[in-house]
Parts: sequence; structure tokens; C-alpha cells
Amino acid sequence: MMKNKVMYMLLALIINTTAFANFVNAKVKVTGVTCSMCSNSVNKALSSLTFVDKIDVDLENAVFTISFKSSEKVIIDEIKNKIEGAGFSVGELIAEFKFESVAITNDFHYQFQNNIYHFVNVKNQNLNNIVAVKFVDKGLTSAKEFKKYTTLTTFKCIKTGTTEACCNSNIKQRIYHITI
Amino acid sequence: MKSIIITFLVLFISYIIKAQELYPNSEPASINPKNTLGIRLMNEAYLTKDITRSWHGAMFMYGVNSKFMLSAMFTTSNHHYKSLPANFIQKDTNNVEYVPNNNTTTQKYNYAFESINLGFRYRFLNKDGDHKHFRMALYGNGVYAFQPHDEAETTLMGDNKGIGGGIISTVLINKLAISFTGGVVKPFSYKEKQTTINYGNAYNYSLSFGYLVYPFKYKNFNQTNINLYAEFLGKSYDAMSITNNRKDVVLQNNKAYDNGNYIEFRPAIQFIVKSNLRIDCSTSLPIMNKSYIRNYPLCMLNLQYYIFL
Repeated sequence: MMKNKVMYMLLALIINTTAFANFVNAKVKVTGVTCSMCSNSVNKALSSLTFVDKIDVDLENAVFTISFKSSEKVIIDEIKNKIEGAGFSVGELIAEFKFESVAITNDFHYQFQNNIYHFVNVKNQNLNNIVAVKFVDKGLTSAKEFKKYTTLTTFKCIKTGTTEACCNSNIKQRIYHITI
Repeated sequence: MKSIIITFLVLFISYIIKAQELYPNSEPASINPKNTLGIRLMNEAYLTKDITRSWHGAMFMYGVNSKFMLSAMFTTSNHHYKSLPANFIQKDTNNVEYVPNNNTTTQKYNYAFESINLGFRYRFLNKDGDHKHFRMALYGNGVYAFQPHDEAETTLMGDNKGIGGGIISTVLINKLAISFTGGVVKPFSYKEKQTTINYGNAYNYSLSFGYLVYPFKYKNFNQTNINLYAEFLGKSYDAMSITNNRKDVVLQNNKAYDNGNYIEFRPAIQFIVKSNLRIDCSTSLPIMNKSYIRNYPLCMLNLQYYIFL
């Protein structure tokens, strides 16, 4: 029994560490930025995140390409908080995600690293290898895009960003909404 | 024909330039980044008949969160006497006390620690879009000033003890950044021995425009940015009054003692080095009436640096 428990824990650890590698990078378009000094503030704020490895900045378009450390857990909301803390907003966030044969359907809830990722407005497909997913939650996209996607699903969780009755989950937790 | 050329020029300029809102002579509705300490050294100088008057301030700004920042400013200048001159109030032949309209004192204006200014700015509205944003903020300041100020126009930059606050709106549409500020200064009286100087309120407003002129395309953080600004600062203020031993003192006819209003034009050039060191050079020219607490032209040099904590 005890042996089984240890084995299970080890297995969970292995699964988790390999799972951490699933976020590859994120391309974030920051809105409200007008000067290189502002971009510098955003860059400095993002650099302070423990899971950030490297940032490439397209200053002209205020697009920050963030590479993640494979050993750390990526928290997308932290990126948003840092950008907002610097005084700006996320206009678009597209992350490259490494999937290993994940079959998705519209409104599929994908559990990963203690978070749920809800696929909005997608076709049935099998995801393999690196796929770019766009975040459509409030604060992770423009207000216009967020509004558009709230109409593309009947699930209430898109409005609150946390699990609702629609998600068949007993625990209240963060649920990210993504599309392809 | 002329109007067509002007329209074309304006369109052309607005096409090649980009908006900037790091105004040297007013604050935008945006605030200091969170967990960042901004240090600003401010210098202002103008010539009078005898001496060069200068004012220096050190301002520390801290972003508490994405909406709220605090600031502390310490100033020094050679604008004031340490205390009111002995002959500040004189008596005429009928024993009526008055303040003469021309300064007859030989007391010197020495540099002295002038004031402490504590303030906040709260950005309560933020609408960010692609190449546009609209922000609104409230600000407030409380100042403790140590020296006498013997003119009606009040400021919270070291001249007066008092409080002040106002509202700022900054809008950026494509390549034009415009900021509007409206504020009020409520000064406290200056008391020294039996003499009390009462000041009226001051109302300040400003309209600021900013443009990026270099680089044409942002490539990296090491490029020096050059920005140009055109700011219009207006103020109206009430008259002052003086009492000595609780009796009114007559103020001889002098515009500096009276209520007034004016608008100044403040053009500025700004250099941003390595995306962090900000150098602002600006001047001030009166375009409607003038201020009596300074001479023109006014020369200003500000340096600002961010420390990311």
C-alpha cells in the first residue's frame, strides 16, 4: 500500500516535471505603450518573473516574445499582472504550447498544471506538437475580442474566468479560455 | 490655398511623428510603474536685475500598484528671505501700516531648504487600445514650506504651505498625445510674530502636446529618443492680504500683491538615454499676461531616472 503510494507520488512528479515543458513561449502585444521608456518598464517587470528565461522585444510594435524556463511553472496571469503593474494592458497573448496527442472538441476543458484551459470556438481535432493558442480571457486580450468570444460559447465561465456550474467542477479555480 | 498647405503640413507631420506623454512641465494621467522608484532632479533659473534666481527640487516617486503612486519632493531656492525683513511693514505719517510697493530691504536672498511636498496620483480610468488610450487620474499634494512668500500668486513648489489637487485627462489617438490638467491650490497663511499673510486660492490648468521626433522606428533600448513638447500652462489666483497685530495692513499698489491670471507657453525638448535617463530642457514665455513671481524667460532642466526595485 505504502509502496504504491510512493510509486504514485513519483509518477505524479515525473508527469508534472515533463508537463512543465509544455509551455514554450508567449508573444504578448502590449497596448498603451508609446515610448521606449515605457517598453523598458514592461521589459524589466516581465524579467522579474521566475519562469521567464528570455525576452525579445519588438519595440516598434510593443510585442514581447517571452521564452519560458522549462523547469518552472508558467502562470499566464502573472504576465498580465506585471504588464498592468507597469501601467499598460495586454492587447493580445498568443502562447506556444506543446501538446502530446490531445484530442479536443469545442468547449473541451483541458487540465494542465493545476489550471483548466477551456478551448473556445474550435473544431474537433487532435493536437500534436507545438500549437499556438490565443488567450481570450478578460485582461488577456482586447476588450473587443473578449466580448466577441463571450458570444461564441454558451459557457458562463468565460465571463468570470473561474470554474462555474457549466464546468462540472466542484472546486472554484482559475479557468483560462483559449482558442486556436 | 494657404489653408490647404497648412492642412497638408499638419497631416504630414502627424503621419511621421509619434505621440509622447512624458510631459516636462505637467504630469500625465499615467503613473509610475509598480515597485519602481523614480528620481527626478528639477532645476529652474531666471535672471533678475541683480542676481540669478534659481530653484532646485528632488522628487522621489514610487508606484504602489498599477493605479496608485506616491511622491515626495524636497526643494531649495534663493527665492525667499529666511524671515520677513524688519522693514517689511512700514508706517506712514498718519501711523497707518503699509507694505511698500517697492522692496527697500537690503536683506539677501540666500539659498535655503524651502519645502517638503508629499503627494499622490490615482489613475481611476484606463482605456487602452491599439495605438490609442485614454486615462484619467486624480492627484493631491500637501506642502510644508518654511519661508515667507510675499506675493499673491501661490504655488505648491516651495512658496507656500498648503494643499492642492486636481484632475488629469490624457488622450492618445494615433500619433497625437494631449493632456489636460485642472487643479486648485489652497494655501495656508504664513505667520511670523504678529504678522500674518493670507493668500487666496489659485486655480491652475494646462494643455500639453507631445511628439516623438527621433527615432523614426524603435529598434532597441539603447537608441536615444528625442521628443518635442508644446505646453500651455494657465493660472488664476486671488489677491493676498496682510494683518499685523490683527489689524489690516495696506498693500501699496503692486501687481504682485493683487489677483491675476496668465497663460505661459512652455516649449521643451527631451532626450531619453538608454530608455531610462530622461533629460528635459524647457523654457517659459508668457502669451497672456504674466506671472509676477518670476522673470522671463525661464530656463528649466530636469533629469529623471527609474530604479527598478
